[in-house]
Amino acid sequence: MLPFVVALKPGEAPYRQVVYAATKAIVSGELMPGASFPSVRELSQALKINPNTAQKVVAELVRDGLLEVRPGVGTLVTNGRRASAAERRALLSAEVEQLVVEARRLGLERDDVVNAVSARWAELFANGRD
Amino acid sequence: MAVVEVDSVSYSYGAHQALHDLSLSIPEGALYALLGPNGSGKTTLLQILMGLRRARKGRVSLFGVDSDALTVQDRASIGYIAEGQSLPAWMRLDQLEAYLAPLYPTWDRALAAHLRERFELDPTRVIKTLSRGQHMKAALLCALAPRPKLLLMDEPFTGMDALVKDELVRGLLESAGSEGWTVLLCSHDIGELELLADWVGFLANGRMSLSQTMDTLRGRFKRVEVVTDGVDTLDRADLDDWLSIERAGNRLTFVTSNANDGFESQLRSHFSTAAHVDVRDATLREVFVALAKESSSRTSEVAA
Repeated sequence: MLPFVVALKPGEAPYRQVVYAATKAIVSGELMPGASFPSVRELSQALKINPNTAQKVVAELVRDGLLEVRPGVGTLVTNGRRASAAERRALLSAEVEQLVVEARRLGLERDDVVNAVSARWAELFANGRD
Repeated sequence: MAVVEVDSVSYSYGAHQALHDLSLSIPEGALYALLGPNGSGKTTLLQILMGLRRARKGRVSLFGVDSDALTVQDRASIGYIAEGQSLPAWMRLDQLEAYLAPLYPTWDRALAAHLRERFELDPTRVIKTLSRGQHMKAALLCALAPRPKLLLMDEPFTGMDALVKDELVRGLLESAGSEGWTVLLCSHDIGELELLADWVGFLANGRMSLSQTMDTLRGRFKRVEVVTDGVDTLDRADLDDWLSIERAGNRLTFVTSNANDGFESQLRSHFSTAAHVDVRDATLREVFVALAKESSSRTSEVAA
């Protein structure tokens, strides 16, 4: 079992999809600092992806400072570094773009989108927490 | 180093030429998916690599050694599963393993035992009593247990149900060596290969029409969907590198084989009046269909 959820779909490089899912899990705190991250083998077998792809995923997350490889221990989620607001925002950019494009396609205006987001936000977090 | 090197190979069955001046190079560590329509020459190519057929023209080398000069030890490091691989029907699986093990210096008993368990195979079963899926699993076990440096598989998934396919893929990945393990796999089950392969080759009418990494392929082949009001825009939409063009009402979809950096902005300015332009990586299936259609239309043009 992987400690994060990813449903791979064709039409986008699996490498990018897995990096995205793992980054989201780490940055959102779903995967806590110090938690162990699956090895390349485990990742490859669980997702049935090419071992080289799994290798690239881990390397990218290490480069991003989200994972560290401790010899003899395994791959762990780093604890030194919290993602910046900008990084967390960047994670949403693809969804935001999709939303904007879709809205445009339906002939909606900017305010319609902003209002829809606000309304939905209020609905979901009605208890005063944001 | 290229583990498999094919240089200008031709092969004929009587008057029918199955391979035309075919060249192919597979680097060490690749999981190479060889795709192509029925009759495109995939099996012939694999048989030539295995030395089961002799190329009439051209050269083949494996591990940098000319295929005619391969030693017994070289051959012991190559695994091969033929299409519908037959196994000695009267043997029990444990007898077959005991028979094969001494032939391979690198036979790994622990791996064989692990795969038997993973595949839920009973070692005391006589092979002819195995179901089709179990038979394929037994064949894969026998090919993987020697930990081959090169594994060739001809349609291993054909006729297998989804569960068996899944187990075969897992078995394959579990025994994957960390380095220097090269796999050449031909299959019609493109869905399985989309995530598994990191190299892809398309064979059409005995010629390689493409051979490259999955990453390059994903960069080059895009699927485009355009929704437009103007019919005239659609009529201009016929460029050479647009494949699988389909029109339905005011919706146009196609696969492009040549997406470069400026492609998307060019496309958007070409369809500046369109209500909707959507570009994404083409799936392996979409690429396969596009190339297969293109090659068959080219053949009929030549014939006509």
